[in-house]
Amino acid sequence: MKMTRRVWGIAAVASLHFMACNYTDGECFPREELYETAGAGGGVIVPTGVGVGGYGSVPFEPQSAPPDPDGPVCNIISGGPCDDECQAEYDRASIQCAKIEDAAQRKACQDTAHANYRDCQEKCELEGSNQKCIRKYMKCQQYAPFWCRSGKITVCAQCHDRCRSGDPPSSECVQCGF
Amino acid sequence: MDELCSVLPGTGRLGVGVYNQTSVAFGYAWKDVDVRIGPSLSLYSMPACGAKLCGRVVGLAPGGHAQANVYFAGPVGVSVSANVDWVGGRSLVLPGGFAAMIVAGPVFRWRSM
Repeated sequence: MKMTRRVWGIAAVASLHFMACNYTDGECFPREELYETAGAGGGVIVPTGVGVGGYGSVPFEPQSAPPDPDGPVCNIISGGPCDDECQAEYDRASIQCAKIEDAAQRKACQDTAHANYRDCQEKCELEGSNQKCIRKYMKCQQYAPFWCRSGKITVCAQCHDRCRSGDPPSSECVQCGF
Repeated sequence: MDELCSVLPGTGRLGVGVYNQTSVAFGYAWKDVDVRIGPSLSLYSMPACGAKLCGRVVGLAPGGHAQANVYFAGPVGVSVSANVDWVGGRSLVLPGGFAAMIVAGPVFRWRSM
Protein backbone atom coordinates (compact mmCIF):
# COMPACT_ATOMS: atom_id res chain seq x y z
CA MET A 1 0.00 0.00 0.00
CA LYS A 2 2.80 2.37 0.98
CA MET A 3 4.64 1.40 -2.18
CA THR A 4 1.59 2.20 -4.32
CA ARG A 5 1.26 5.62 -2.69
CA ARG A 6 4.93 6.29 -3.30
CA VAL A 7 4.60 5.35 -6.98
CA TRP A 8 1.55 7.61 -7.33
CA GLY A 9 3.46 10.41 -5.63
CA ILE A 10 6.40 10.07 -8.00
CA ALA A 11 4.02 9.87 -10.98
CA ALA A 12 2.23 13.03 -9.82
CA VAL A 13 5.49 14.96 -9.51
CA ALA A 14 6.72 13.61 -12.87
CA SER A 15 3.47 14.61 -14.57
CA LEU A 16 4.08 18.20 -13.45
CA HIS A 17 6.85 18.36 -16.05
CA PHE A 18 4.25 18.17 -18.81
CA MET A 19 2.54 21.25 -17.44
CA ALA A 20 5.32 23.56 -18.59
CA CYS A 21 3.99 26.08 -21.05
CA ASN A 22 4.94 29.53 -22.21
CA TYR A 23 4.43 31.99 -25.02
CA THR A 24 5.84 35.31 -26.10
CA ASP A 25 3.49 38.13 -25.25
CA GLY A 26 3.60 40.87 -27.87
CA GLU A 27 6.56 41.58 -30.09
CA CYS A 28 10.01 40.07 -29.91
CA PHE A 29 13.19 41.44 -31.45
CA PRO A 30 16.79 40.42 -32.10
CA ARG A 31 18.99 40.45 -29.05
CA GLU A 32 21.26 43.13 -30.57
CA GLU A 33 18.34 45.58 -30.39
CA LEU A 34 17.82 45.11 -26.67
CA TYR A 35 19.68 48.22 -25.61
CA GLU A 36 18.74 50.41 -28.54
CA THR A 37 15.90 52.13 -26.73
CA ALA A 38 16.43 50.83 -23.21
CA GLY A 39 18.20 52.74 -20.48
CA ALA A 40 21.05 51.53 -18.37
CA GLY A 41 20.54 48.55 -16.09
CA GLY A 42 17.35 46.54 -16.24
CA GLY A 43 15.98 43.19 -15.24
CA VAL A 44 16.10 41.20 -18.44
CA ILE A 45 16.88 37.54 -17.93
CA VAL A 46 19.88 36.85 -20.13
CA PRO A 47 20.85 33.20 -20.39
CA THR A 48 24.31 32.28 -19.31
CA GLY A 49 23.92 28.51 -19.48
CA VAL A 50 26.40 28.07 -16.66
CA GLY A 51 26.99 29.38 -13.21
CA VAL A 52 24.51 30.52 -10.66
CA GLY A 53 21.11 31.27 -12.14
CA GLY A 54 20.32 31.76 -15.80
CA TYR A 55 18.73 29.76 -18.52
CA GLY A 56 19.99 26.74 -20.44
CA SER A 57 18.22 26.32 -23.73
CA VAL A 58 18.70 24.39 -26.92
CA PRO A 59 19.41 26.25 -30.18
CA PHE A 60 16.26 26.76 -32.15
CA GLU A 61 15.77 27.01 -35.89
CA PRO A 62 13.80 30.21 -36.23
CA GLN A 63 16.37 32.04 -34.13
CA SER A 64 19.12 31.17 -36.58
CA ALA A 65 16.97 31.93 -39.59
CA PRO A 66 17.72 34.99 -41.68
CA PRO A 67 15.86 38.13 -40.57
CA ASP A 68 12.25 38.20 -41.67
CA PRO A 69 11.11 41.49 -43.22
CA ASP A 70 7.87 41.21 -41.18
CA GLY A 71 9.85 40.83 -37.95
CA PRO A 72 10.91 37.66 -36.17
CA VAL A 73 8.50 34.84 -35.36
CA CYS A 74 7.97 34.87 -31.60
CA ASN A 75 5.93 31.70 -31.00
CA ILE A 76 5.86 28.17 -32.36
CA ILE A 77 2.94 27.57 -34.66
CA SER A 78 2.31 23.84 -34.95
CA GLY A 79 1.54 22.70 -38.47
CA GLY A 80 0.38 19.23 -37.44
CA PRO A 81 2.14 15.92 -36.77
CA CYS A 82 4.31 16.09 -39.90
CA ASP A 83 5.61 19.57 -38.99
CA ASP A 84 6.10 18.51 -35.39
CA GLU A 85 8.25 15.62 -36.61
CA CYS A 86 10.35 18.09 -38.66
CA GLN A 87 10.71 20.24 -35.56
CA ALA A 88 11.76 17.29 -33.41
CA GLU A 89 14.35 16.24 -36.00
CA TYR A 90 15.63 19.81 -36.13
CA ASP A 91 15.90 19.95 -32.35
CA ARG A 92 17.94 16.73 -32.33
CA ALA A 93 20.25 18.09 -35.05
CA SER A 94 20.63 21.42 -33.25
CA ILE A 95 21.70 19.74 -30.05
CA GLN A 96 24.37 17.84 -31.98
CA CYS A 97 25.50 21.05 -33.72
CA ALA A 98 25.80 22.86 -30.39
CA LYS A 99 28.38 20.30 -29.29
CA ILE A 100 30.76 21.26 -32.10
CA GLU A 101 33.50 23.50 -30.74
CA ASP A 102 34.73 25.01 -33.98
CA ALA A 103 32.53 28.05 -34.76
CA ALA A 104 32.69 27.64 -38.56
CA GLN A 105 31.85 23.96 -38.41
CA ARG A 106 29.09 24.64 -35.91
CA LYS A 107 27.55 27.27 -38.19
CA ALA A 108 27.78 24.91 -41.19
CA CYS A 109 26.07 22.23 -39.13
CA GLN A 110 23.31 24.66 -38.10
CA ASP A 111 22.83 25.82 -41.68
CA THR A 112 22.50 22.20 -42.84
CA ALA A 113 20.02 21.48 -40.05
CA HIS A 114 18.05 24.56 -41.02
CA ALA A 115 18.03 23.60 -44.70
CA ASN A 116 16.87 20.08 -43.81
CA TYR A 117 14.13 21.57 -41.67
CA ARG A 118 12.91 23.71 -44.56
CA ASP A 119 12.97 20.69 -46.92
CA CYS A 120 11.04 18.69 -44.37
CA GLN A 121 8.44 21.47 -44.02
CA GLU A 122 8.04 21.70 -47.79
CA LYS A 123 7.57 17.93 -47.95
CA CYS A 124 4.87 18.22 -45.29
CA GLU A 125 3.13 20.97 -47.22
CA LEU A 126 3.25 18.89 -50.40
CA GLU A 127 1.96 15.78 -48.64
CA GLY A 128 -0.75 17.83 -47.01
CA SER A 129 -1.91 19.34 -50.31
CA ASN A 130 -1.78 15.93 -52.05
CA GLN A 131 -3.94 14.47 -49.30
CA LYS A 132 -6.41 17.31 -49.72
CA CYS A 133 -6.55 16.70 -53.48
CA ILE A 134 -7.16 12.98 -52.95
CA ARG A 135 -9.95 13.70 -50.47
CA LYS A 136 -11.58 16.11 -52.89
CA TYR A 137 -11.30 13.55 -55.70
CA MET A 138 -12.91 10.83 -53.58
CA LYS A 139 -15.70 13.19 -52.61
CA CYS A 140 -16.15 14.22 -56.23
CA GLN A 141 -16.40 10.58 -57.41
CA GLN A 142 -19.01 9.84 -54.76
CA TYR A 143 -21.17 12.94 -54.43
CA ALA A 144 -20.57 15.33 -57.37
CA PRO A 145 -23.14 15.68 -60.19
CA PHE A 146 -23.17 12.81 -62.68
CA TRP A 147 -21.48 14.78 -65.47
CA CYS A 148 -18.42 15.23 -63.17
CA ARG A 149 -18.03 11.48 -62.88
CA SER A 150 -18.88 10.38 -66.43
CA GLY A 151 -16.61 9.89 -69.42
CA LYS A 152 -13.38 8.03 -70.02
CA ILE A 153 -11.37 10.63 -68.16
CA THR A 154 -13.76 12.11 -65.64
CA VAL A 155 -13.85 15.80 -64.75
CA CYS A 156 -13.08 14.67 -61.21
CA ALA A 157 -9.83 13.13 -62.45
CA GLN A 158 -8.92 16.22 -64.47
CA CYS A 159 -9.62 18.43 -61.48
CA HIS A 160 -7.53 16.14 -59.31
CA ASP A 161 -4.60 16.59 -61.70
CA ARG A 162 -5.03 20.38 -61.61
CA CYS A 163 -5.18 20.27 -57.82
CA ARG A 164 -2.00 18.21 -57.56
CA SER A 165 -0.11 20.50 -59.88
CA GLY A 166 -1.18 23.50 -57.81
CA ASP A 167 -3.35 25.13 -60.47
CA PRO A 168 -6.46 27.00 -59.31
CA PRO A 169 -9.71 25.08 -59.89
CA SER A 170 -11.60 25.83 -63.09
CA SER A 171 -15.29 26.80 -62.96
CA GLU A 172 -16.15 23.15 -63.84
CA CYS A 173 -13.98 21.92 -60.98
CA VAL A 174 -15.64 24.33 -58.56
CA GLN A 175 -19.03 22.89 -59.57
CA CYS A 176 -17.65 19.40 -58.97
CA GLY A 177 -16.54 20.27 -55.46
CA PHE A 178 -12.89 21.31 -55.99
CA MET B 1 3.97 25.89 1.72
CA ASP B 2 5.96 28.88 0.47
CA GLU B 3 4.90 31.73 -1.76
CA LEU B 4 7.66 33.77 -3.38
CA CYS B 5 6.85 36.78 -5.53
CA SER B 6 9.70 38.55 -7.31
CA VAL B 7 9.36 41.81 -9.19
CA LEU B 8 11.98 42.15 -11.90
CA PRO B 9 13.02 45.68 -12.81
CA GLY B 10 12.20 46.43 -16.39
CA THR B 11 13.89 47.98 -19.36
CA GLY B 12 12.46 50.83 -21.39
CA ARG B 13 11.41 48.40 -24.07
CA LEU B 14 10.12 45.39 -22.19
CA GLY B 15 8.78 46.72 -18.91
CA VAL B 16 8.64 45.24 -15.43
CA GLY B 17 8.46 41.47 -14.91
CA VAL B 18 6.79 39.36 -12.25
CA TYR B 19 7.82 35.86 -11.20
CA ASN B 20 5.62 34.10 -8.67
CA GLN B 21 6.58 30.73 -7.28
CA THR B 22 4.49 28.48 -5.08
CA SER B 23 6.26 25.54 -3.49
CA VAL B 24 5.30 22.79 -1.14
CA ALA B 25 8.20 21.67 1.03
CA PHE B 26 8.75 18.68 3.24
CA GLY B 27 11.67 18.78 5.60
CA TYR B 28 13.30 18.20 8.90
CA ALA B 29 14.44 20.58 11.63
CA TRP B 30 17.24 20.19 14.14
CA LYS B 31 18.09 22.70 16.85
CA ASP B 32 19.96 25.13 14.61
CA VAL B 33 19.40 23.72 11.15
CA ASP B 34 16.35 23.05 9.06
CA VAL B 35 16.17 21.64 5.55
CA ARG B 36 13.24 21.24 3.19
CA ILE B 37 12.64 20.03 -0.33
CA GLY B 38 9.61 19.78 -2.56
CA PRO B 39 7.93 20.53 -5.88
CA SER B 40 7.16 24.04 -7.07
CA LEU B 41 5.01 25.76 -9.63
CA SER B 42 5.94 29.16 -11.04
CA LEU B 43 3.87 31.68 -12.93
CA TYR B 44 5.78 34.38 -14.73
CA SER B 45 5.47 37.31 -17.03
CA MET B 46 8.93 38.65 -17.53
CA PRO B 47 11.32 40.23 -19.99
CA ALA B 48 13.74 37.59 -21.25
CA CYS B 49 16.39 36.98 -23.88
CA GLY B 50 17.13 33.67 -25.57
CA ALA B 51 20.08 32.90 -27.81
CA LYS B 52 18.88 35.32 -30.50
CA LEU B 53 15.60 36.89 -29.50
CA CYS B 54 14.31 39.07 -26.70
CA GLY B 55 10.72 39.59 -25.65
CA ARG B 56 8.19 39.31 -22.88
CA VAL B 57 7.59 35.68 -21.97
CA VAL B 58 4.50 34.56 -20.11
CA GLY B 59 4.22 31.03 -18.78
CA LEU B 60 3.82 28.33 -16.21
CA ALA B 61 6.83 26.31 -15.05
CA PRO B 62 6.80 23.29 -12.74
CA GLY B 63 10.00 22.53 -10.91
CA GLY B 64 11.69 21.60 -7.70
CA HIS B 65 12.73 23.61 -4.67
CA ALA B 66 15.20 23.02 -1.87
CA GLN B 67 16.13 25.24 1.06
CA ALA B 68 18.43 25.04 4.07
CA ASN B 69 18.55 27.46 7.01
CA VAL B 70 21.47 27.42 9.44
CA TYR B 71 21.28 29.51 12.64
CA PHE B 72 24.70 30.20 14.05
CA ALA B 73 24.07 33.10 16.43
CA GLY B 74 20.77 32.66 18.20
CA PRO B 75 18.03 33.99 15.94
CA VAL B 76 20.48 34.98 13.18
CA GLY B 77 21.48 32.57 10.45
CA VAL B 78 22.09 31.97 6.78
CA SER B 79 19.51 30.71 4.33
CA VAL B 80 20.33 29.09 1.00
CA SER B 81 17.62 28.08 -1.43
CA ALA B 82 17.79 26.57 -4.89
CA ASN B 83 15.10 26.19 -7.48
CA VAL B 84 14.98 24.56 -10.87
CA ASP B 85 12.09 25.25 -13.27
CA TRP B 86 11.27 23.39 -16.43
CA VAL B 87 10.73 26.11 -19.00
CA GLY B 88 9.11 25.25 -22.28
CA GLY B 89 6.21 25.93 -24.56
CA ARG B 90 5.44 27.93 -27.67
CA SER B 91 7.74 30.86 -27.02
CA LEU B 92 10.71 31.07 -29.35
CA VAL B 93 12.42 33.53 -27.01
CA LEU B 94 12.77 30.76 -24.40
CA PRO B 95 12.03 27.71 -26.52
CA GLY B 96 12.84 25.03 -23.99
CA GLY B 97 15.20 24.09 -21.22
CA PHE B 98 15.45 24.93 -17.60
CA ALA B 99 15.85 27.92 -15.35
CA ALA B 100 17.93 27.66 -12.18
CA MET B 101 17.97 30.12 -9.33
CA ILE B 102 20.10 30.06 -6.19
CA VAL B 103 19.45 32.60 -3.46
CA ALA B 104 21.57 33.05 -0.33
CA GLY B 105 21.20 35.58 2.45
CA PRO B 106 20.66 36.26 6.13
CA VAL B 107 17.69 34.77 7.91
CA PHE B 108 16.12 35.64 11.26
CA ARG B 109 13.79 33.69 13.43
CA TRP B 110 11.53 35.15 16.07
CA ARG B 111 12.07 32.44 18.65
CA SER B 112 15.05 30.14 19.25
CA MET B 113 14.21 26.45 19.23
